[in-house]
This record gives sequence, C-alpha cells and structure tokens, in this order.
Amino acid sequence: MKYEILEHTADLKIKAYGKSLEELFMNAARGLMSVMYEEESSKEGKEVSDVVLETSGPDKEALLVNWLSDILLESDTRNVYCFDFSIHTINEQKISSTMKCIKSVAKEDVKAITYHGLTIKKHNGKLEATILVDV
Amino acid sequence: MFSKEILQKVQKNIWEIPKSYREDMCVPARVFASERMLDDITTDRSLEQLVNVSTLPGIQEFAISMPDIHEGYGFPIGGVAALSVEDGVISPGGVGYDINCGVRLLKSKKTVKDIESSIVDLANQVQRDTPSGVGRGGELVLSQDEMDELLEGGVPWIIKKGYGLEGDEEFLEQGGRFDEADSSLITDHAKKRGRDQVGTLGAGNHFVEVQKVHEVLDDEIAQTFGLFKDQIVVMIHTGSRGLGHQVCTDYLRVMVQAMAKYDITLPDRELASVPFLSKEGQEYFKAMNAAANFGFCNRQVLTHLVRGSWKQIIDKKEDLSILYDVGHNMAKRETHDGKEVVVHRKGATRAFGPGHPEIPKQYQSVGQPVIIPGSMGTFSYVLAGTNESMKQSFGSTCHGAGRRMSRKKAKKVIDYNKLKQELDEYHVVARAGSARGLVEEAPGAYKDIDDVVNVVQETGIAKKVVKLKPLVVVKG
Repeated sequence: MKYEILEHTADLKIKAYGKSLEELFMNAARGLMSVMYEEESSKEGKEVSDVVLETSGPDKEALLVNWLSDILLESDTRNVYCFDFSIHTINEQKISSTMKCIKSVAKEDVKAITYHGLTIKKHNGKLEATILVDV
Repeated sequence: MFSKEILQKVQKNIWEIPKSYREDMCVPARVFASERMLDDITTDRSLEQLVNVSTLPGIQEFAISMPDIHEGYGFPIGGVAALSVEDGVISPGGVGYDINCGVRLLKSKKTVKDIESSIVDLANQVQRDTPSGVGRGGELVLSQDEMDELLEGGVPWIIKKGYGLEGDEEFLEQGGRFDEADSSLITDHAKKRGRDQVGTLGAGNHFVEVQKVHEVLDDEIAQTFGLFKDQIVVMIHTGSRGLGHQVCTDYLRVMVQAMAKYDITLPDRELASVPFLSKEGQEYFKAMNAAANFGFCNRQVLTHLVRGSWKQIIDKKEDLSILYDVGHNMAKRETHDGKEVVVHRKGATRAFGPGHPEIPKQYQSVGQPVIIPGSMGTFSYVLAGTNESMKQSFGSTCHGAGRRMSRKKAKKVIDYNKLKQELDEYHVVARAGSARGLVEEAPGAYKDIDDVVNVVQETGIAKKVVKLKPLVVVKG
C-alpha cells in the first residue's frame, strides 16, 4: 500500500508508507493529491508544466510538512493537479525535487498541512508517516 | 480519552483540570460545559490539547475551553488563552489557519410575510451572486498594489472602492481594520494564493443564510440591536481564505525553526511559539493582523453582493444594514485587570460587556453583539457580551455548535435524500455546490447549539438575545 486516508473529527489524516525516505515522501504527496482531486484526472490533451521545488526544514518531520505545504501552495494557487514526483536529492533537512502539473478542478479545499500528531516511524522494516491536513 | 475523574467541579457548568495533573502545566485549565456534554468532550483529545495550551510560557490564570470545544490541531477548537505581552509568547496555532474567520449579521426591515413568496428566487439569486465552493475565485482580482492597500486599509479602504456604504465600518469589530497590520510581512506567494478570493465564501462550513428572528429572548437588548420577531436577517460566515491559511503556514515554518533559539520546548509542534516581543513574534502579529483585514474585507464584499441580491429580488430601495461583524480566530492585544495580554481565541468569540470603549456607541448600554451560527438547518443565536465574561473568560464566549462527527463519518451515516427531505420539512431552501458539501455539514454532524448556548448563558459569559431560524442556506 502506498497511502491511506484516515478519519479525524475536524480534518483528514494521510498515512503514507515507503521503503525509503524518498518513497515515503512521494507517497505522502500522492496521498495529498488524492484528497484534493478526483483520482488521476485525465491528462490527455492538457498542457503540462514542470515545477522545481527546493525545500528545507530542521528535521525530517518538519521537512515533510514544509515540502507538502510547498506542493499545496502550487496546487491551490494555480489550480493544478501535481504528479510524477521525482526526488533528486533528499536528506533529513533538505529535499530537491521536481513535479509535473496540469490544470484541474479540486474536489476538496485543503487549508494546510499541520504538525498535529505528525509521526514518521519504522514499522516492520518500512517507514510510515501520519500527517493531518486541515480541510 | 480523558478521564472524567480528573475534572473538579468549580460551580455548575465550570470544571477545572488542576495544575497538578501534569508537571509541565503553568496554570490550571477551565472547562465550560454541562455535565452531559463532558461525555462527548472526554472521548477525543480536546482536553489533552487544552492541557497542552496551559504549558505555554506567560499564560495567565487559566487555559479556557468553551462548551463547543472539539479536537483541533495544537489548540482545541473552542480554546482561549491570555498570554502576557511582557514575557509571554504568541502562537499561530492559537489563531488557526483560517485567520479572522468570523460571522456578520445583516438586518432588513422586512418580515417573513413580506418575502414568503420570493424565498426560492432569493436563494437562487444569492447563490448566483456569491462565489462559493472549492477553489472558486471571485470577480474582484486584486493587483499587487491593491492587495497591499487592502491588507493595511481594511474595510474603510474597500468601502472607498465601492464595496459598501459609508458608516458600515462603525458596526464591525475594530472598525473593520487592525492598524497593526503590515502587508510587507506577508509573503508574495500568500498574496498570490488570495489574489482572487476577496468576496468568496469557500467550502467547508462557510455559508450565507437568510434567517428569520424566531424568538426574542431579551426585549430590551433586542430593541437596542434593532431586532424584532419575524424580522428577516442574513448571516455570512467565512474568513481570510487561502491568504490566511498561507500566512499561518509561513509563520509556523519560521517559528518551528526559531523556537530552539528562545529555548522553548512544547508538547506539540502545532503550538510553536516565540516571545511576543521578539522579532519573529512581532512579524507574525503584524502579518496576522493584515490577514485579518483580508477576512474583514472578504465579508464586506460578500455583504455588497448580498445587498445586490436583496435589491434585485426583494426591494430595490432597501439597503440591508449591519448588526455586527466579529471574528472567532484571532490573537488580540487587550488589557485585562490592568495587565496587557495577547488573547488567543481559536474558535471562540470576543464578547465585551456593556460600557467597554471598543464596542459601537449604539451598543454601549447592553454589550457587544455576539453572533453564534448553528449548523445548517438548525437555530443560530445573537447573544450580548457581559461583564461576567470579562471576569471569567478574558471577554470571550463560544463561537458555534462544534463538530461531533468527522466529515468522512458524516458521509457514511447521513443519507443525502433523507437530509434533503428533512430540510424541506423544516422549510429550509438549501443551495450547495455539491451533495457531499451538504451531507458533511448536516445538523447531525454537530453538537446541539441549544446546549452550547445554555451553558454560556447559565455561566453568565454571554446573554441570549434572539434565536434565529434559517430559511435559505447557500454554501460551497
């Protein structure tokens, strides 16, 4: 499983999985897009733009919040669905990535990515992250 | 889960979590709730979150929760904390992502009888005129310069641009403009995110409702507020949209980094704080005030649009007037008991009592109007601030019904057709962008507003004035 969406009284939680930090981050981003847009909106005939993101943070948890916040900002400001995430370099304080974007209509207004109850844990040799988004 | 045994009864409807409950508490926590409501409140993490708030450096007297408390992130929603200006902190988590989300009530001179035959037309017109729903922008797209002028000039500026009537600002909290605002402290990307969102409702629990005064509960105050039985009023509930969300995100990022520098450790990063008087603290405060001006202007432009709908369908000569506009997600510099504090209200309303210099002169004798939206299809209330709230809760009271069911659960257990039928039976004309939007905000997903308002009335931190029944609901 790449990610799942869990319940929370006021908001939504994304639980993402990955064998590496890189895979974990990408799956969390896919989870975020699944909250905001209908699954894999049709890309045919649409103009695709490339976006470069350089994000930093004091540790891997903050880095994940900051990186997802940067993706949300791009998506919400330009009304674009983001996909084909590609991570060039990543450590616990810095991530350099690119993604593709196409114009799309969101189904959910995500206000922000929060730190509330945020965890990145190792479980059965796999990484798991829980992120709460404010909708 | 929070054990009910920990709560000590102070008096009817007020409970205390003693400072001894957890070592890191700086002050006790006070919970305003009826005994029956405690069953709901103790099932989630909201009281644990309230205890976390009590650990903030410089917090005064108590961390306080209102009867509509529910689990949020960092602060519980329905949380109030007063932090010392001199040696306390400021926390974006104590304001929330939707800075200056709030409510405004417009008054007409008409009664139900006068508009009965035009209700559906009015619902359709309001839906056409007020942009709502996910990602929906408005007609007013601001240039960079205009955005800066709006962020610092607030409602008086936007009235000059043609969105409102001279004198509207007198009936808004703070005159519709926080003068500590500094637009240069808001990032360009936050400004871009909100560029086309002035005069838009957004999605979620935001709405425009046409309501009638169902019952007058205090004749004298109702008269002073210009409210009477069967009168038609319009309620607008929205905030600072994407711009506010981004300001919070941007400054949380700054504060999470800066906390170490000030040697602050907290049980939850969402409570990230820095000293109020530090560079980062002051920058956030000024940016947050600018975002709050955006929230005021958003409700002002929506007022302008709704006035247009009213003129087109009901009476082309009547301008709806403003009862009041008050935010429920803010941190404000105030003086309580002679001490300067920053009162954080996250899902709580400022409720100043009679004689307070910061309320409009017309309301000086009775206290500030407090507008409490219920959930869709249930009653809302107008309350008045009291001097008791100044003593007990830093001039604060509740803000609404409060969720009791997650959106996902609501979608699972509430049937759309049944809900539509119930709304029909209750004579509510509902216009929503999607069936999902309607179901997520169904009355069953919220606490009972009557219970919430009864607790604030019985504890004296606000006074009931009128009860409002919805006739039309327009939402995203």
